[in-house]
Amino acid sequence: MKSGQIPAPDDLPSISRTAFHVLVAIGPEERHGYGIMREVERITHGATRLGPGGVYTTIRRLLDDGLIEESDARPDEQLDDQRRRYYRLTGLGRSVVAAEITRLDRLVGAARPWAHESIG
Amino acid sequence: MTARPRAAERVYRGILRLYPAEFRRRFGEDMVQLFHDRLRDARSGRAPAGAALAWIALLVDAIVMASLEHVRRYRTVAHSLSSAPSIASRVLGVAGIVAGLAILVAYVIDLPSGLFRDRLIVFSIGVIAIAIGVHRRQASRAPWASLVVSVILGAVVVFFLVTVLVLGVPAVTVFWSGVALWLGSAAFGAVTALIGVVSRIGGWAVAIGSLVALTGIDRLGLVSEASPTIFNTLSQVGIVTMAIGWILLGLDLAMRRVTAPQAGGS
Repeated sequence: MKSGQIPAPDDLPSISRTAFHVLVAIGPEERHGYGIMREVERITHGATRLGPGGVYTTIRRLLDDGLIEESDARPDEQLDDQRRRYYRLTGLGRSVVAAEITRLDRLVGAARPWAHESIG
Repeated sequence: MTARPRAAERVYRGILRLYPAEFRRRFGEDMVQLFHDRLRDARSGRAPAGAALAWIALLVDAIVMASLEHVRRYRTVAHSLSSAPSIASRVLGVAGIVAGLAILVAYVIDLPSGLFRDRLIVFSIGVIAIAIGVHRRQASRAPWASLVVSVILGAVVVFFLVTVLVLGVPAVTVFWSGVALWLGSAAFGAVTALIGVVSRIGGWAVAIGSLVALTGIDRLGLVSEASPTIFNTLSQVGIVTMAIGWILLGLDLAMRRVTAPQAGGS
């Protein structure tokens, strides 16, 4: 999808938690499967550990939906295995992440006034 | 690469065969690479679990994700080859379901009252709707057989309805119009089941139920008018079976997606 055709955030569909984790893990960079796996573990503080199947079935879905794309760039050609495939977010992928963040913000905003009191 | 990782890789490549071939071709080598990364982390202590736990996690990951991938692929393929029933098919199917329910209510829930005229009208309209809907679905497979049994069914239903609704028709005429209705339903159900485009179970239920209902009719009860119903227990079992058959055919028309070769006919 071209950037001019990207719909408004509220018009974008919600995505699964795993897909969201992978999109956030890729972030503004270009990452390969192993990098995505490690980053998901890091940003979720170890709560989410994806195996090869989890990583690549999600990548397949995100590729098919046009939220990520393969990248030819190799961040460090000296150190990295050239056989690895790198992925980056597309414009649509960034919009979907932004829309999901907006939804989560609203949710957190609704819960924040009372949730901390319940815990405290 | 040492002998041990090579053996481990062979085992993991074997596990990867659980995935659909297309997915394996696309991502298989990347997954093997990731597998080595995972094991290396586990052995070097960077991952919290040891190698054994890493293997278990990899196995569970493969089984769960491969299953989901097969389901996704199956659904995608199935949906790409089929289309939802048309509005007309849905309406005809719902009418058929109502027809079957009308019979069930009459002979199971509201047994003493039997089949009133209003229910007969509902039933008749529903059966004709089923005949039209089923014919639309299966005409491309067996046009003449489908047309003949559908027309016969429609004709005997109309005949039966007229004999019931028109006052002054002799009871024996009503009886024979009912016999014609059972036989027409049986022929329609059997041919529908044999063609097999719509629910075979529904077709056979209509066919067998109609014949059983016919077998159990107490003709003496009709002639003498001494009995409140001409349907004995066997006959009522047949009627219920037939009603379930109409409902199944109605559900098929209203809900089941049709595959591409038949899509144009529905």
